[in-house]
Amino acid sequence: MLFTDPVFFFLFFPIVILGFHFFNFFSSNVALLFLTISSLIFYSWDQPLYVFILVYVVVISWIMGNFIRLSQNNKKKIFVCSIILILLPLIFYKYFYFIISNIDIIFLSVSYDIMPENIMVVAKSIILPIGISFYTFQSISYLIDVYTGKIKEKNSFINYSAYVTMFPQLVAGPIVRFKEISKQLISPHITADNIRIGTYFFIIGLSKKVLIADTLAPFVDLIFDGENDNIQNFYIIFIGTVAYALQLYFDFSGYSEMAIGIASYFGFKFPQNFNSPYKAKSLTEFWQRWHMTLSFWVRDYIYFPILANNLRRSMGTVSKYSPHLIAMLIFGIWHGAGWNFLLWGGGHGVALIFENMFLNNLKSTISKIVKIIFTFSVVLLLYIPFRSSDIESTFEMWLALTNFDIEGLLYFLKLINLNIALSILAIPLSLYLVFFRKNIYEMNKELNFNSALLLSVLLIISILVMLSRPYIPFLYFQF
Amino acid sequence: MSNTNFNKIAKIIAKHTRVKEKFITIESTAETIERWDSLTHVKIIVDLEKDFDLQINTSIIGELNSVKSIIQYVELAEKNLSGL
Repeated sequence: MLFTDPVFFFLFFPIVILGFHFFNFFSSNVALLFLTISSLIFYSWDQPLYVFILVYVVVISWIMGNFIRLSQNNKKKIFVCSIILILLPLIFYKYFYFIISNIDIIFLSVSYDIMPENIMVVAKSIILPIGISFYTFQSISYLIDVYTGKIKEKNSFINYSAYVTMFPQLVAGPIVRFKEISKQLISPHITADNIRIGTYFFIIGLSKKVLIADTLAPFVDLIFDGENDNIQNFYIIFIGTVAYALQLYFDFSGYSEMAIGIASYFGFKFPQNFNSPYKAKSLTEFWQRWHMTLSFWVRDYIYFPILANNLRRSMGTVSKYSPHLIAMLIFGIWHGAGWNFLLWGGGHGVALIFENMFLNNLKSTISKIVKIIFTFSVVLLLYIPFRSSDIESTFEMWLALTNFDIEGLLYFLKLINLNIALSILAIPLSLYLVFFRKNIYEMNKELNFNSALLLSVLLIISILVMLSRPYIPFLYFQF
Repeated sequence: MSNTNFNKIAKIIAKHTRVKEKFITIESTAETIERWDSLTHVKIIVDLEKDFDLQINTSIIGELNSVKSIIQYVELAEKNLSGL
């Protein structure tokens, strides 16, 4: 089920929100239980059997969290064991085929066929459970916080299961830390402000997805998925990559804002996930503004511990900067089991190292506009492996950026249909919005006649467009 | 708040962010000081550990992202130590 499904919009959400507040009037525990069950229904709507994986992760992480908290002598062993248990489904469903296919390639290169064909066929057919990367990382953050003593108190299973499963953030984040929401779970309550803010976030998020991201999609798909070698030149790939950067931002930030808006209706405040990332003046700043909840997760649980350990031992340059690369490789592989994702993450890691080693001293001497353009250019270049289907396509597209031949551009003009034309027309407007307009956190969210009218118009148009188009998935559902 | 502690903390932050000490105030945070990024932050944490003879739990490194929070942490640690 999706936020843009009519079933969600007109049936599921109204029933659940009313039911939640009805039960909350009598008991917050009952309300949270109702929310959890509703979330499991939400999750199982399209992939019924995969709800058992979610239940497994919730139950095991809660039980192991208690073992860790109560343990005196074997805390570390229990902690390591719990992380392995929680990661098992993710490794199997997401990375199993990648691992065995690469092992197979290595052995084939020395003429040794190690992998039975039927195992390869079965592994390739494994379907990724939606949201597994998100709720796995969410549970891991809980276990780490219990282990390090950040979470000291015992938590009820009802509270914990509501935290992991609540449907607004279940399938594509934001990745919420338990401490960010634990007090809110004890006594959720809704105010007029929650409704106002929730309405703003939901409608703006929906508009971003339906009216902008989905409009950009046809052009992006043509550039990255179409089999047209004739249009592989600098102009088309550059504009196509810009379109993808915009599509990805409006799609993912739109989803996050819808999630935050829906959560607000339940009385929950979720953390911010995007802060105008393309206005960043450096890559370091970009990663403080893009997919913030995952970025801070990797920073707090991977980057800080490794770097602190290295610096405490006064290790050299490699140890000082390698945590950047490790963190970004993990970032990359989190997104997908493929060398192109590792290339994307690794590319950002190397760029961050370069920035920290050489560019930080130049910061004050370069104008803000140049810094923004340079940062955006690096981000664009690295979006190519992120969006490409494989490494081979990535290098073909990078190479094509050196082709300034106009012939390809003229050939492309023949491929333009109405949808492609609308996509291209959406690019300047989208660029204007991301570079020159305030984001939803910065804008005035008062509810008066004008704003209510604007929001209503946006909502109606979004619904009409949504119902008239074939469904285009949220991009981050593939992760 | 001890002036000695504030001065020591300000000196560490100034050293790693290359901002003059006089511009570091009790209200300074990682968001208000330009060069106070993640790498700089951990360098600050490690120097704080050396200067104040502390062992800062990795889980709270991210939370010590302002002069105020660092001072509070240091003073609490000193109180706990003297209470032993």
